[in-house]
Amino acid sequence: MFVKDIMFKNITSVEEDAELKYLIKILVRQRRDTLPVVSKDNEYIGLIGVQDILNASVPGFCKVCSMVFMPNSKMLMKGLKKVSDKKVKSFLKKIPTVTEKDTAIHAANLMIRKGLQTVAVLKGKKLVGMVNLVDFLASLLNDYTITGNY
Amino acid sequence: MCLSAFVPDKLHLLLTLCYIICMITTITLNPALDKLYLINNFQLHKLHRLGDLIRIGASPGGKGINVAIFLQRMGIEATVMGFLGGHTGQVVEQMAREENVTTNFVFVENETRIDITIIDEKNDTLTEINESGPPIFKEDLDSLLKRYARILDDSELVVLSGSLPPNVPQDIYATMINMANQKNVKTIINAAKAPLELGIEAGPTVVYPDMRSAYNMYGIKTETIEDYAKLAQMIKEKNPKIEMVVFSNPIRNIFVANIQGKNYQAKIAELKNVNMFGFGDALVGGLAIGLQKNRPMIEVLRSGFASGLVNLESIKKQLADKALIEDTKARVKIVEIP
Repeated sequence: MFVKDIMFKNITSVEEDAELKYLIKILVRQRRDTLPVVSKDNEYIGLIGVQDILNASVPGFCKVCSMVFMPNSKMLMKGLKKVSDKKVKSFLKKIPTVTEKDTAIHAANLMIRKGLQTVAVLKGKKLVGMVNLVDFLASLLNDYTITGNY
Repeated sequence: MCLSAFVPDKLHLLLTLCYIICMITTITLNPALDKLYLINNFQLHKLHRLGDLIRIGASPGGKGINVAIFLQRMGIEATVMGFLGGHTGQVVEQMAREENVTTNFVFVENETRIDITIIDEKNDTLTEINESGPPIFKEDLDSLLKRYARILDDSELVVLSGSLPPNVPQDIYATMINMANQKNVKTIINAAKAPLELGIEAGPTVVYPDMRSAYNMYGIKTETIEDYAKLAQMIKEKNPKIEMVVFSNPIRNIFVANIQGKNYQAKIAELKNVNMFGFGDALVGGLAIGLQKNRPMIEVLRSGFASGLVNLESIKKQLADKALIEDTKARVKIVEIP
């Protein structure tokens, strides 16, 4: 089974200079927790998700040795308001990507190691879709495929 | 194990640069969830229970989505863009996903529309209930145009089709055609009324007016082949960039086109009208395939009419049977109108 068999060919993305508050709006409307970020030339740069927004919003003293503690909601709201006008590019994660021809297990391995639910599928530098961990699991159980035979 | 892991970094970069993504992008600004009900003896003031009707499920609607599904079934990469919203929007996106179409929708605040068609075979009636769609706010429109500008670099052809949702400026197709022309990307427009007329001024490659709902373009009544030919000539003269104007009226067996200022008529042997649904979308799909392969315009037209006819003569929607379409091409005789 290959990535192309389980990928979701959705190339919805945000541009690197979009504001965080706009990103939150799209995440809510699309019911997603992560979105890919692209440059003006439509080249993939990285992923940004709810976790990255939270990390950016909590005050510095709540972060100890890469662990993040949740402050009270007032503090979080204050922090979030401070960063909501900032550009997406300052907070995105640069995560390895996969191609359509990679095996599904390679993509799953990548996601598990990085603690991700989803990873971008590229063709050259261009985004062609996303692959989700849950789709991989479902395909193992039910011979469930989105695109056909494998 | 991933092969690319063994490739040295610089070589990998070189390899990735060799990829070129080429695809057809279709624009559906006002998609819908089409619901079709077959109800015998459909009446007002009456409860029709699911048990006594055969319900033919829901399908994604909106011309652009249908064109993209047709293209994907023909084995051509198609991306669909537009506005979706709410739960219905999620359903439409999922349906497009099942057809393996690449999606790039801007999600808006309000729900995507649902179009209901009720066919009563006993009394021979057809009832249609079409919503107008969610209003689009400036922020979402700007977002779509930004994404459109980005995706143009990877597109060989753009198909602009269908009606506009509320709040979208009437010249949106004109704007999109101008953007495509700047990047030398070909365009097909399949729409009606003001958005079409303004779009024509911008100079698309192919114009296919949607003549349903008794639309009198430029105030000209179209009944005979000569009327259509005259109108096609008029449209062609609006902008030198227009390479082809296509008209079709399968009920009257009228298939007319204007290619580079010359009028043509397609004569089809043994035309059977079975199902009008999906005819126009398959026709646009056929034109798109011809244009993408850089065929001569006459062949593009033949490909369009053949794809449309296969769908006209079948009860299925978006039927992409390559062999049948090739066979049907032989039945389409294109002659010049003097």
